[in-house]
Amino acid sequence: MASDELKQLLRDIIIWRMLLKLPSFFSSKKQPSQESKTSDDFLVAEINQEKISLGFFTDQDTKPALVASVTEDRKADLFVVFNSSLGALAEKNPNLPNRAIIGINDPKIETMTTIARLNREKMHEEMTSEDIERVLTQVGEDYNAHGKQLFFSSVTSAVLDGVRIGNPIGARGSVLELGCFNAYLEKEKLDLYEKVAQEAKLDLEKIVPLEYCIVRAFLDSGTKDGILLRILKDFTTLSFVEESNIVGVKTFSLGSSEPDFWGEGLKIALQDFSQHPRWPTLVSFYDTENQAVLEKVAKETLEKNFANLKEVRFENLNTRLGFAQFEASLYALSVEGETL
Amino acid sequence: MKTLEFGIGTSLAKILSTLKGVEDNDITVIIPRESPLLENPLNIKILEKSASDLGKSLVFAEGVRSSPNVEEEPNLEPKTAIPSPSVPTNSLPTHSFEEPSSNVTNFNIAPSFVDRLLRFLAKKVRHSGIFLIGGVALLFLLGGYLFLENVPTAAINLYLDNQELIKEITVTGSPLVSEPDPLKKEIPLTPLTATKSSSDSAKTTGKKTVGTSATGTVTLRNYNTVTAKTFPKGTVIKATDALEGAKYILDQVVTVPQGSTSSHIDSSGKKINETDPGRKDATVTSVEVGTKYNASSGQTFVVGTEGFENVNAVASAGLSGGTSKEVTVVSETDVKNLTEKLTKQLVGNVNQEFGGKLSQGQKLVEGFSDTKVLQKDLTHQVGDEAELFGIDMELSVTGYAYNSSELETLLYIAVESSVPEGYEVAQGAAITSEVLKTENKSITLLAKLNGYAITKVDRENLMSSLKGKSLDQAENFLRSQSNIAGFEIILSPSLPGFLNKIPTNGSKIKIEAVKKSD
Repeated sequence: MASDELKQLLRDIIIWRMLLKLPSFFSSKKQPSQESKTSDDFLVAEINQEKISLGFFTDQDTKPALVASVTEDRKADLFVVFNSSLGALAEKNPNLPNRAIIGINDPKIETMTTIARLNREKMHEEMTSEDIERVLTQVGEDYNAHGKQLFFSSVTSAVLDGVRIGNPIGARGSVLELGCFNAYLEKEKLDLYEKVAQEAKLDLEKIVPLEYCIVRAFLDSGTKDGILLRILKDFTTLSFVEESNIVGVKTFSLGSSEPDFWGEGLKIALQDFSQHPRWPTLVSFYDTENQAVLEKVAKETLEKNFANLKEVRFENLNTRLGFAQFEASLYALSVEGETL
Repeated sequence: MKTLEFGIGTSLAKILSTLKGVEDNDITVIIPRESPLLENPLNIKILEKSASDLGKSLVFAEGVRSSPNVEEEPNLEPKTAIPSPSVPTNSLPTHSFEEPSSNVTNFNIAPSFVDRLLRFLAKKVRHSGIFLIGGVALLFLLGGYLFLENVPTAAINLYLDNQELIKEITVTGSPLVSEPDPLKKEIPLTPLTATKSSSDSAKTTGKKTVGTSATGTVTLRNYNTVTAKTFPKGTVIKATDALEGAKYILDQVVTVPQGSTSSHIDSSGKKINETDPGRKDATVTSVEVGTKYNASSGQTFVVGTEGFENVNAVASAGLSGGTSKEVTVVSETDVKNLTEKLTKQLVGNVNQEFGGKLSQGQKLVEGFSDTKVLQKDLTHQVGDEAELFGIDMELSVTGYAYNSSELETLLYIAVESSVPEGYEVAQGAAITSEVLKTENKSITLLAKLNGYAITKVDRENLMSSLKGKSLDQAENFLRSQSNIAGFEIILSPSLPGFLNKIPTNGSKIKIEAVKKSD
């Protein structure tokens, strides 16, 4: 009997300790430090359907370095969780910068990838950033995004007179083919993210589609083809990458909580690519919990439904790139910070 | 026809699970318009295809706000005011699916905690008495014993005579060796393989002259009056005079008839013989390109190996069409340089990857790897005209790693012969290694040990002799050992009187041999 009472006492003590911690949760929001505003530091926020992750990066000579990071489940209103996460990050490092980029994963994002061909009459003149900007603007405006607003645009590849080049600016040639990636979202949603940053007193430099950055990190690691999967509890994002191009990004509302149903979702999402002539043989999981179970389901689903995916390999992108569970996305987004 | 109505926060998995359990084949599904599921057309597609796989047909009715008995999950986004169209109720049976309500337990924490604490203390007081005192004394004794057995530690530093010890050996590492061999001084190398691909581009540096050959018609002249002359296609004719050295070839087989001779008497009465050569026109093309092979009319040529007096040729209308210009092309050096650059880059990437795969004690041999090109695609071939060219290459790289503990073992075995009798190698010797050279299938490593040989001490005997001894006894014992030059005993914590002694628990005694300072 005494033992039971002791156990009960211990439980009560634990609850008391939890209650003592609560005031810090409800305490006023931590604001980024005005003193620490330097040109080299920036914040990265990842907002997906289930979590908000924040990273404080400092831009070093070679690449941005992560100073501190936090992640929190979205169990309450977006504004509340964002501010709470920011507070937690400020507790780890009070000198938070103001500049921020937000990476979003929203099922309503519409993406468009295309190759824009530019026939240059003045082939002996060097290409300028204005030339490239003109092509991107033209491509962005030509696309019918169903009333959505263009919020992100990037050159994914450049081929000059049949030769793939790293940077078209300054190059000379007659035919330039630019791989363009554009992302569109409803204005109301973009306003919402801007308001989140505004209320947190952050200078929002840009909003970027999260999967684009992840795919770029994947490509930078030396791989050119793959099916990338981020599986949250109730959401999945699938990026189909072939020959260094994002063929398409799909999201659906099934995840690791129901692996059997998730396999069904995977099958139907992949069927949208069934007409594609060449399929990657690498399935790369990232920021995914319970990968072993899902890998088994994915293997069975692919073998049963897709004859061209029999020799598929699986990997964990976080492990390969050396990132913790949620930090792969933050690092991928931080590359955008280099160009702030 | 069955109608299923779901709440705004019902998950896709829940709806799929419900569909699976419904026996009817025709189902009307009502999902509130504000449901996040409807934001994504792929979710609807998943519902439709899954139902279709189950042999069911789905009809989506426009959703209404969930009824009071349908629980709403908190909306994650700030709600936007989307008007909800009303849907007329029909006579079909409707099933509302409620999300399980959250399992909330209400804790009335403060009174419960205080009550229980008071009750607990009161009970303890009621049972106080002799048993309590006896129990407390027993606890103290037990605690004291456990304390003496587990807490005090003794660090014994032995100062021993020493000699500096430096030893270098060269060791061969090879993937063909399976086990370390102290006699041959060989250690195995473990292969690590990875495949990487990358592409890169570079400016071309090769130069090539391109253009067209000069062509035209020449008249071949045969001065031999006896036989005709036949020249095969491709016979070289060489220009004379100003264009001397320029070569042309005949575009077809040419047979030049023999010449004829005629005689006449001139005014002085002398007989004059005149030869009229046989003639045949033929087209020729210059061997090389360029304007310098264009020839004016009257240009003469030597034909094949014939002497000029026997057979020659003349361009009666001249030769034209020869042009030339210098262009930039892909050279062999360009391909070689870019291939080397890509290979270096890929090997570097792979080595970085290997670094993360090494197990404890493994060391990667820098600059020693086998590479195999699995695929190499060039955007342009050598000799192609281009300003830029690119290579897409896939490489299989095999790197090699050795186990540093195996190397150390060989080093310790080798150093044994240098240790004087009665001495042993002191722990903590500095061991370094470097790759001296790499050969086809092996490497040569230089391993170096820099440390001390100290007088040998039997630590186990020493420990069993010292266990449980008082500080004075321990010091006397150590002084009596001829091979120990000095010592230091540190007892922690410092306890009063008889308690201050070497622990009886061997795991709490640490004996370290220290080189005697000079």
